[in-house]
Amino acid sequence: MHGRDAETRALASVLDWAAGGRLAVALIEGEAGIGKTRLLTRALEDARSRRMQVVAGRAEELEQTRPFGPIARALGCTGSPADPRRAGIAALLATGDGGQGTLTVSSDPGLQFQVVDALTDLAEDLAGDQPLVIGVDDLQWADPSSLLTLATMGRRLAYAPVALIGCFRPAPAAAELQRAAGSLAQAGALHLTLGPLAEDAVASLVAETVGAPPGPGLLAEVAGAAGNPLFVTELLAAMAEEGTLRVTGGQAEAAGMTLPPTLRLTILRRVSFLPGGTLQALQAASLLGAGFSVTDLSVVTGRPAAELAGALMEAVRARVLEDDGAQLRFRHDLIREAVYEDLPVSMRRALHREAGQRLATAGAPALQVAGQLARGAVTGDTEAITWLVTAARETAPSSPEVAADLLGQAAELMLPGDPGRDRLLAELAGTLIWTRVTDAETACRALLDRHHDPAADGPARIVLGHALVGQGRAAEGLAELERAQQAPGLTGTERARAQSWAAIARLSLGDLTGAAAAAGQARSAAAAADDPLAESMAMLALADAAEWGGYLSAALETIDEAVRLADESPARLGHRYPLQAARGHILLELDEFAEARRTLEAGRRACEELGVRWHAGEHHDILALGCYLAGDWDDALAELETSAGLAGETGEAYTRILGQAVQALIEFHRNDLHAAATTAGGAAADLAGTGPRYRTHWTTWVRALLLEADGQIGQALTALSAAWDHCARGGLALEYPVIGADLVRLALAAGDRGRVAEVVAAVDQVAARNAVASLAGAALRCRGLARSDAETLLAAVDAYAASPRPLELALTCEEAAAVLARRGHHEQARGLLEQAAAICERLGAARDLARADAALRSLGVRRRRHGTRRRPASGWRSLTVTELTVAGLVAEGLSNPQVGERLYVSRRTVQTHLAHIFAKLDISSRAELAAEVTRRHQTGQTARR
Amino acid sequence: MWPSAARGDHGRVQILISLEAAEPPAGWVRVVRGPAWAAGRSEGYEVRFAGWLGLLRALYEVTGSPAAGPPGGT
Repeated sequence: MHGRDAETRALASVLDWAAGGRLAVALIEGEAGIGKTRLLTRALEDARSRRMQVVAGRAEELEQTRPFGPIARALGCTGSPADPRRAGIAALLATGDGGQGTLTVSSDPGLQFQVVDALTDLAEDLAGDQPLVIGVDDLQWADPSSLLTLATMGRRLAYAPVALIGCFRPAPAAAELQRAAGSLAQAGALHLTLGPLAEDAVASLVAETVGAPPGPGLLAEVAGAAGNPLFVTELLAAMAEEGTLRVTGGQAEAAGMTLPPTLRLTILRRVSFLPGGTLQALQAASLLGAGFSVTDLSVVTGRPAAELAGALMEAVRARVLEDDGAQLRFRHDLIREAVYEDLPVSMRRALHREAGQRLATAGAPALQVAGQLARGAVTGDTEAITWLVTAARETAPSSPEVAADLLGQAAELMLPGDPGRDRLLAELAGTLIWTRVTDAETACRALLDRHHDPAADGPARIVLGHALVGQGRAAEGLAELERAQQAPGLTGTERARAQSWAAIARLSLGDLTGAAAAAGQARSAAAAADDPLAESMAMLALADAAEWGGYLSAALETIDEAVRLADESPARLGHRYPLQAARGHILLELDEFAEARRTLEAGRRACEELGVRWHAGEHHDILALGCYLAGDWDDALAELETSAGLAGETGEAYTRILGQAVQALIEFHRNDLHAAATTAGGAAADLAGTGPRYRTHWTTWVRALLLEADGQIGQALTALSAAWDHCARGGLALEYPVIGADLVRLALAAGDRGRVAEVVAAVDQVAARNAVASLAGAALRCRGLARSDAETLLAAVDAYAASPRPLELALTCEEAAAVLARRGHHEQARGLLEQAAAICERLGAARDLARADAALRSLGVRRRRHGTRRRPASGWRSLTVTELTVAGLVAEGLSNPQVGERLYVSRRTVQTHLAHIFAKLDISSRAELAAEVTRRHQTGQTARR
Repeated sequence: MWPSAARGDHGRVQILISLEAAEPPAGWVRVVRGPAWAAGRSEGYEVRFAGWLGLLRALYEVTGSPAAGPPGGT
């Protein structure tokens, strides 16, 4: 390598880092011909010499619409690989729909997520055997799914011995590439920008190429190449061909003046010396891309492969083409570009069109045919439009970005008056939902705000409604969905989806009666249209409406029926909507924590199996809720961190407000009021931007607790009363037991007996409807507080003791103790306070423990001070129970997915735990962790202390 | 410097290049005055071309460069 010593050293350090057990990323950016590929090749050779595993691929300009092209090739997941892991991925890519049954272009891109996960798992598996280096060249042409995979690897393989090295040109700067580069930058990517070679580096490159040091004339000639090494070597090759390069007296010189033109003309000048038949073959090959098969070239030229082979070998001998073992390839893509762009536009079009038609006749994939026809098409070309739409629908499940692009191309080719154009634009908007929900909204509005085909009105409004509800703008979304239902010509499926989304929108708005009615209609429409996904949505809305109204048995019955139908639906299509998340939530309300956890785990696995990432975060938020209620707060925080990461990836944040509220509650009870206020403030800000969402009253609840902690009792009461009134107006009885006791306490402090009575009656009613220990406890607690009745509060303690909710038990013990102490029953009060303190100590609820201790001191009891489990912030003793378990399993050599399987948590949650472990132990690799665990085993220090 | 000129020619070649398109170029190359050695490519001999490659090949042809191959072949 000439003049690239610093960059070579930097890449060597990237390999060092990966070999040490941590993810290392390098991005090499520079103009065409500047030496990116050489640098990458050199780094990969270095990696091989270190006995690291190396996989490499490159993106192709004409393959930008092929989902997972370069990354699947790099990891050997194309064709018929012998390795079953790779074969599984190849089969997924080959079938197109991932075996998920019929998917329309507006289905969510399940296959994309499934393949991204599978490729990332494969990389992690491979890295488990030996450090892995993945090199991908020409990322500026990578398809969005490949870029998404690389970005995902950057996030998920943080603790795996993997190096990702990618090269790209500064232009074209596609948004997907910028996003992926940004994401990899967050993973600590090293960004190398290659500039022109310095003069001495150019001189040494010339000397190596021509075999003699260059004289001043030759150096002046190559100075025109502006330090671009490809330009320099092409110029030298052209001069050698022309006979204008002479070596005399041990020095290379230019014999006669040649004016270095552009790089492109220099390349063409060299290519022009090839025989005419070879040039024709190269021109045809340039239509197919930088890499091409002789079979495809034979199809598009109509020339026998044997005849082509001779012509192409000339180009290989002249180093214009290379044989990479699988296919022929232009030695540098700039050579292909030069040949391709030298074809007059009209000729290029005609050749592309003919190539597309010949490929279609030969049975080539729709994507390949459409790509050729589109490049040869003019406005109104129905053949190209039809193939583009076919290719878009085939591609949508694996790459919605590509599908949107293809549909956009088809729409561009349609004549303005084409009767199908507006429907196609509505379909395009539906695809954009899965790429950028705001783009979908913009596309729908652009269509609906102008004179448009009435047949497109309904479909476009359904997409718009979905986009708005997805952004939390439920009222606006509902209006569009209702208008959609009035539109003419809706199909049964479209009607069912419109009604289902309308039901979901009404739920968000707190209109339970309306939601149930809309969901009932939607269910019938979905059943009639035989649409399992719409049926799942409708039944989930029905179950949620029942649950939120406080009818838990009915809710469970409905969701169980929905799960049964989804199990029986083709390819379990019905599970693409988060039925198990809803079921898990209902089970938590029923105090069935173990069953809830199993259900949420099953739902999370279904998301992975079906490639549903959009709703995966909901499972983590509800798991976190369960962990919080059960007192496993460290695990709750790990689940919340995982959920936040997923929301960042997908933009789907339906349950995030609840998640943020749970986090704030944990921080509050741990007495970190500043953190709690920050988290709750963040949730409130998100809510202000989007409107009502799932269990948003929890944010107000935390805010009220913080106000009370700050001594602002009146404001706390006002805030919590407003939340209560909102729930009461919509019949959101589910929230009554949650906020009831705190509202009673605040109302008593303010002397608002009316409010107290209202709350007690409402919570009583919910408890009476459902035979659930914690609901009975909530009702008794509210009543006991209202009457300052020790017996009732002791009954509440008993009820909570029969439930799996330790914090509520501790708080009720404390409240009962307070009443008993006031009545002089000090001994009994002390016992209850001891019980409360012990629970708070176990939970780490420092705030509540401090209060219980203070109450005990007032009764003359000085508890032996244990304090909450004050773990140190770092070191082995700082690890939580779950982190210790994860550390042990990782030390056994298990991968993240395998640890997840053992612990019944997601691989993402395992990664969250691992991140915490590494930070606490100040280590950077699994190997270091394994060594530490082994050392502790040998010295008998495996326990935390 | 074109290959034919480099080897010491037997007479000048005067050509006229007419462009119908500029980038990539398309048009024709016509021999205005041909060299003595190129009987088949004498005055009025014309080669149409498309693209820079075509232009280069046309120039090789009218100047009799060995790179041209048989006449008329791009």
